[in-house]
Amino acid sequence: MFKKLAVSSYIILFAVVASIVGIVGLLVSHGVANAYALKNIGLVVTLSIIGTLLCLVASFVPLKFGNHDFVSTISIVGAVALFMVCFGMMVEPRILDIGGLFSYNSQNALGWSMFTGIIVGAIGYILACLALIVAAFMPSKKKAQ
Amino acid sequence: MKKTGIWRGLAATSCFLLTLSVIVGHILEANSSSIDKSMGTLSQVTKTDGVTHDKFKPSADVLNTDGTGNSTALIKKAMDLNRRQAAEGSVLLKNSNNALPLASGSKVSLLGIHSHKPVLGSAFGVKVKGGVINLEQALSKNKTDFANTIADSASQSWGAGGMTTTIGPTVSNWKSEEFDFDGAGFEVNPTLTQAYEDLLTFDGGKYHHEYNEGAEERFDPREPSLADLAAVAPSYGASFSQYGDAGIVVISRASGESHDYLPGGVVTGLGMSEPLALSDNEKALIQTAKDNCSKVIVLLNTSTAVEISELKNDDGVDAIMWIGAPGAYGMLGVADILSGKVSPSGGLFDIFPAKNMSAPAMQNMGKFAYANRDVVTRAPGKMGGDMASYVMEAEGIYTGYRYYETRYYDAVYGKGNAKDPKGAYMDNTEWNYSKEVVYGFGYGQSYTSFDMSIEGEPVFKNTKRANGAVDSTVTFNVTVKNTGTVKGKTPVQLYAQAPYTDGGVEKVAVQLLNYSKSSELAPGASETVKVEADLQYLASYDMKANGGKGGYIFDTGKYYFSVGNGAHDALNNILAKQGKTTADGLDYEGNAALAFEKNVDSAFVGQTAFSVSKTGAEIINQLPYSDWNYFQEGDVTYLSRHDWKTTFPKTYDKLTVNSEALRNFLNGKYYEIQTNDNVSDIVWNAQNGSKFYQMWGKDYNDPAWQKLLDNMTLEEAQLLATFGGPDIPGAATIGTVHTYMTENAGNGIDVSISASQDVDAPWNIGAQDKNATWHPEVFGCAPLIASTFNPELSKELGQFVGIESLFCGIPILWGPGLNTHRHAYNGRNGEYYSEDPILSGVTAMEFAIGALDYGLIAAPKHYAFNDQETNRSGIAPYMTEQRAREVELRAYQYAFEATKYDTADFDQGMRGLMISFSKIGPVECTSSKGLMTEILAKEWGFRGYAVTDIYDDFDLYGSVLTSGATCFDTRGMNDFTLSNKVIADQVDGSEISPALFRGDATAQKAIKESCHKILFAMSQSHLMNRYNETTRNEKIMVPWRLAYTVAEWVSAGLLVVSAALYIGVRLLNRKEEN
Repeated sequence: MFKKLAVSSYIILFAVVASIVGIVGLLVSHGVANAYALKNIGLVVTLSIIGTLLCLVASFVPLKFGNHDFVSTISIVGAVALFMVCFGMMVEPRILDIGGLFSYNSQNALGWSMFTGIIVGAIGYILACLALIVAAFMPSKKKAQ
Repeated sequence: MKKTGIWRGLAATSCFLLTLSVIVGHILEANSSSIDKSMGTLSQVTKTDGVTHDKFKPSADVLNTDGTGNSTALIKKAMDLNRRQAAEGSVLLKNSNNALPLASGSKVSLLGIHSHKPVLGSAFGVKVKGGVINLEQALSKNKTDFANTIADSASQSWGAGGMTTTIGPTVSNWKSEEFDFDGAGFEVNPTLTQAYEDLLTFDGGKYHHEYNEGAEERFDPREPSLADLAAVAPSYGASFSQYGDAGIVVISRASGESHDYLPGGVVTGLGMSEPLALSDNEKALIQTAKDNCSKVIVLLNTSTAVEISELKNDDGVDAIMWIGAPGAYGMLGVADILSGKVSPSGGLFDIFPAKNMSAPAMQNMGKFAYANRDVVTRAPGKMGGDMASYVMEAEGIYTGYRYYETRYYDAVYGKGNAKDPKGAYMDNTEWNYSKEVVYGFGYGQSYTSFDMSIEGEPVFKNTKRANGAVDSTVTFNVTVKNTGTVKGKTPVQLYAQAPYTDGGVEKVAVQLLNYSKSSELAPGASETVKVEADLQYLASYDMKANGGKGGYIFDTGKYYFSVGNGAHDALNNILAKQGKTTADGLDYEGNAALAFEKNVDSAFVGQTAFSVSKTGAEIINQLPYSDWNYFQEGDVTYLSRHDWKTTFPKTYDKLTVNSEALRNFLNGKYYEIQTNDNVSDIVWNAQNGSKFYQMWGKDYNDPAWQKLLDNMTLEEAQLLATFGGPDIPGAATIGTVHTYMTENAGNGIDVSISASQDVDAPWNIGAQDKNATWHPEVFGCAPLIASTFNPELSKELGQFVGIESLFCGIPILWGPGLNTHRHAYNGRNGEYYSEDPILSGVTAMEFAIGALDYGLIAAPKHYAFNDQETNRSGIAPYMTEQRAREVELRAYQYAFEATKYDTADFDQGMRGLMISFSKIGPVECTSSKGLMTEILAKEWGFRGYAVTDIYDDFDLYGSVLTSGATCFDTRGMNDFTLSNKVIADQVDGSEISPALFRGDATAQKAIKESCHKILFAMSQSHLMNRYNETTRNEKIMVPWRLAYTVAEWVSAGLLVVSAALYIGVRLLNRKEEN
């Protein structure tokens, strides 16, 4: 089945990997200390997983529904939206914590661990989105040989 | 077939951009206050119809005739005040052969990288912002060059190579006039000036420096070597021939938030073993000056004591002057002294020992943690502190000069093994004051000389208040005569000694009681200066008094009072009065005529008279848990003058927690929230029509307050007690609106003058003003104003900052710093006044009362025991209650009681404070009812805003809100609801919600009282200038708001269009396929 996939599907599979990195970074930043725990971690992880599943859908459904089909397109756009929402929910509550690390709270080792997690997570989510965007412009099904 | 990929791709792209712009917009709105502050924008304003701003207004000299603000006059006034602060606060320590002042037109060479880039402010805390005047400009120019001399600071940033340090200006897009000034009129060696400019970026920036710097745990002064100096300026040696009248060497040690200097914490290979000693490169500079210049002047650009015994004893060094971190324009004051326009009149804020490590406090400074640290299970908060860290303040009451002078006194009397070498750092055979101390507390020289004499008998006055308190004062009239040849002023410092019984309650041999300052006296002129002191500050706290309940004692016996040039001089005068001479071991003869002996018998005031506070509260032990021995008796030996040898502190590292009570305290078990109390008598939501704006001028005990508080809902009250600034939530029932109300810094308000949200103020300075970006955070470090020993100048500074606050629209200031200097290594000493609680307390009180004149609530920080920055958010400092009350808390007591300003009808006092990150013993200061309610509110009568430090102790919600603290510092938070996750994880497992306190009468009453205090403080402030029934907030379409709004709409439009086109083309293609 993988041999039938278009290049864009492989790029989307890369997005899957990137989104998993994003989730790992998210969980690391959440688990460093109670003080940095996210309010809606369950929701953020759920949305991330849904986004990842949508990526998988977007990779494989063109095999059935054809090039640039509605399902894969909605999946790509939906995954982009979900990953960005997760990115926002991960970063936004920590903006001032991060600002503190760069000023009055630079000695806070736990804070820097949280920051590292956020950097990893942000890179994961953003790369996933960029990969999906690139894939969206490309044919989603190989041309018949 | 038409292509769908382009529209599909655009749909995904625009979806990405839409979500990104929504996220960015949300972040910007959530942090609008911080963004406004940093970008100088004004995204929200408070609007009120029909407000006249008649309650507080700036002084007429900073207004135009039509009442509008005059930024030029404001800046000139700031420049003049900062100049006087530095001119009066700088302390001349050595002036051999009248080397200073330098003659007009002198050709001087400035040596040291800090001669070009002096430390003017702190890296964090009391940063100096905007255009500054540096030393070479003050010495040789007559006009500011603000455009090219903007205060800078280093910050960490995330770059491609990881964390990097970048240096940037403190104010971007600087827009200001340039101002004329009268400089010193010297000619400055341009070769060296250019060389140091080049060295700032030399070799990858290894000598980088900023105008705002801080302490470092592993310190390197980054003073260039002579070889590197020669590398950038091969001809520098020859340049001395033209500029050799004087070599002015600047030695700097910075101060700032979050880092300390640590014992032995220096980079290797610098020729120094301690961070406050001189490095080889610094010594080489001084030698260069000695080799090439007729006079050698050393300026100490520090906020703490540096080790300079070798300079004092070096005949080649002609003059030494401490100048602090002088602020944006303070170098003008330094130049005034160097050129002789002003005769120096400051006194040292701290003692300068030969080795700072010789202070007993230094035996226990730094990083210490319990051996069985696992017993501490409480999680760190957002500051990430080590919750198992502690520091043992085993020096007891003997901090700073109190140690050195008391031990000296006992050495003279041959008591207490005072001469034993234990604790000596300059001699292996004996402890010798003259070797251990370089310059004493309060000491300072002048260009002129003064004779002092005590006029007649001092007046003792005892008055009993109706509430049982005793006001007991002594007033000395001291005649000061200028016997020199130039005009000058001098502090009049009054010291005292209480009778000590060997083995009894610890007492110091000399302590500052109060001070005043003469006016500027012409040669031959004289003036009688009155100094009145409250004798309650001479009482000693005895934890065993009053049948074990504790209290202040004022023993019978001989008391001595003295004036002198610093504590040591005053003590020598007391010793002379007691018949001691150099033959007995005095380092120089005292003047008995400047001391006074008072025999106190039981009829004077009574031994326990001062165990009743001014408010009528009985003073008893409130902090028993501050003492480690309270939990584990005998573990710790506190320093006692009974035997200096055996009680000199050892280092208490890795103590083991055995006590269950201690463990419980360390884990935050202070208060249990109740669920079934009878709360029927606590009224909420009374709907009685009472509004906040009607409270202007109402006394704290006015019944109208109760009516107002009854009008609030429990949830509103809980919100007000939870979110403490800078944004303080409104309460609809009483007509208050969410307002940006508080800001940082004691050296000015940390907001630009054109950023006020009070845009209807007639004096409001808008973005179009020629000085729109001028930033009021310009004044020098706290020790500089303390060293003036001039209460009037402190008050004037407070008044000016109050005026600034009217321009900035900030009614509450988180400052000044009021912790006492426990030792020289506290990285934040530049934000705190002194090691002496009276000098600190008087300076803070005058500042705060001055600020109140203009409606600014100056809230000192950090109450209390913020004795080091290292592990500041987790640390447990252990001490005796005597030490707590007689040293650290005495500064706050003096300031909060503000007895000087009380009248028969009005109890004056400070209206705000910030609570420390630190604990007192194992109990968080925020949660210590003894500290917050019993001492602060009941004993001292504090009525005002008492906020935690940033994000501190959210996990102790119930404990904090019932201790007497009024609210949390929630700086920058954007979720102003009680479901805010940041305050969710409680040590007691409780769930924060509006229902949390519904069954807890204690908590409800405490919250109501907190609201009373917060609203009372606000009602005393210039916030009332803009309050009536129409007060509301309005959002402004600032550029960043416009940018993200446009981005949202454009990307949303693009998403709709591209999605529609994708669908349309896709359907068309399908139709074609069919």
